[in-house]
Amino acid sequence: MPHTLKQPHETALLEAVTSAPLVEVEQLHASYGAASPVLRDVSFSVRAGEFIAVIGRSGAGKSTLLHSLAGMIEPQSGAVRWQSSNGGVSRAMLFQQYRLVPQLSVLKNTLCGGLRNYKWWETLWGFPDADEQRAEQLLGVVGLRDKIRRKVSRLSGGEQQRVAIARALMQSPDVLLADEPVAALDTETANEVMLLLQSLNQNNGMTVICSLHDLEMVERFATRVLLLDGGRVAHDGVARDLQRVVREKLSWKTL
Amino acid sequence: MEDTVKKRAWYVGMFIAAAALYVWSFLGAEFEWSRFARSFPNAADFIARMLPPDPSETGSLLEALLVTVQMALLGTTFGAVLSLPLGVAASRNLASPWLFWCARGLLNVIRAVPSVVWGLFFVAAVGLGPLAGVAALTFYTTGYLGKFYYETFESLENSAAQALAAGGASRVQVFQYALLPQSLPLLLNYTLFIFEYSIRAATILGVVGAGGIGYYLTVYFGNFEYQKAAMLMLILLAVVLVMDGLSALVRRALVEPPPRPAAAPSA
Repeated sequence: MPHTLKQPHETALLEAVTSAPLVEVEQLHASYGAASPVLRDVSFSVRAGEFIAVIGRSGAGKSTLLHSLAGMIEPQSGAVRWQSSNGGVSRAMLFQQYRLVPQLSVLKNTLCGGLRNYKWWETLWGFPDADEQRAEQLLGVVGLRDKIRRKVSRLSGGEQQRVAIARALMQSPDVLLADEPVAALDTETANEVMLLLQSLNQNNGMTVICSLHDLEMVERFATRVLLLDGGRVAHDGVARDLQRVVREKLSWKTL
Repeated sequence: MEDTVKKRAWYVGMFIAAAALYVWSFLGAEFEWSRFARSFPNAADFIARMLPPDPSETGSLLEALLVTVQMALLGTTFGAVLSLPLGVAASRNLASPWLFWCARGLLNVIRAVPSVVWGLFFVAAVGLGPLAGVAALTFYTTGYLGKFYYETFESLENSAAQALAAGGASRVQVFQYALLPQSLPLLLNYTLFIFEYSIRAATILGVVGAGGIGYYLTVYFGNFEYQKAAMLMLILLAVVLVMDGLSALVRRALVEPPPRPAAAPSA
């Protein structure tokens, strides 16, 4: 197991039971602007080691919730309280369209994840060797060791999302926030990417909060599900028997 | 129904306005077809005096031409170096409002000054010769490259930049690692275009004594040595063609083969 990743499974489980919540969301109201979905009075808390799927129709506020958790949008009222002990909670984000720099290599894109550890003049002429070694190692974890020098625009969608995962791992995240990370991928590639996230969750104790639209996939990978409807939490529970949950809790009866 | 009437009235109004604009311009330019009709003998005479081109001074012409190309290369390079920070400062999406307005204003002022005036200014400042030409071309190209650069930066798709910013990268880092790599092919393309263009601009600078082949142009026409002038223009044509070809080659190297579709199913 790569030593630079977080603690193993057992410690994470223990922590999940004993420690304070990693993040508490309290009566959160948030929105991107007049035209975008609005979160209304959203409250829940997350413990370390959970794999939470956020589901709901498009426009239900899934992206708004994830972007709020990432700190990319400020709450209008309410609060997102991250645990502050042990140096705080490190977060990283994945996007549906990967958001890589197409002209840069796989390695460079991965290295970009570590930019926040340096002042701008320290990265003006490139990255420290230690970072390069770590990036290569992480690219091994996501299965791209042999494509390190390849330009990102030459990769398939699944490979690009793996680069985005490696870039996120450069930040040694306690929590990975993923906004529809497999929506642009075919089923098989999507499964591979989800298995990678699952292994990071189970073997390295990384908490995953991930919006998904495929209920089968949610039941297979998530430990807990958050169903959003019109910006509110319609259901918060274990990821089982979701067809029935959706039928009972949603005004629309389908996803 | 009312909308189509309004639209039609708008088109008719635009047409009348455009027609008036052209009439006004013809009058202002003292445009007379009859003067063209009477012009053919003079034109033919002018051309006849240029033939055949006189190659006796080809050696010194080539030397002067080389200086012209060297001036253009240096001027464009210095201009590009100045234009990068100016272009960033003049980008609505990258700079703070006061910096944005200062940079836009500065670029507009620089661009409003014709290349010949820059030439006269620097001949007065640093004396006759190619140094004045390089300085003039630096400012002249900065006016245009700065504009091309900020338009490039403003047209960028910035989702990768947002991702890096969300990951905690600073503004300079986001620029260096997300915006610059995405815009570099376009920036180089514009710079090459301006380099070609400044070879032609450098020719004119010689006329005011700022070095290069333009000097011979004034001398030949001043002394009625039309055949030598014709040779000069043939050489200039050859150089422009060669530069065109070279920059087309470089440009082709810059343009990437189209990327594979992002969501290509894997085997």
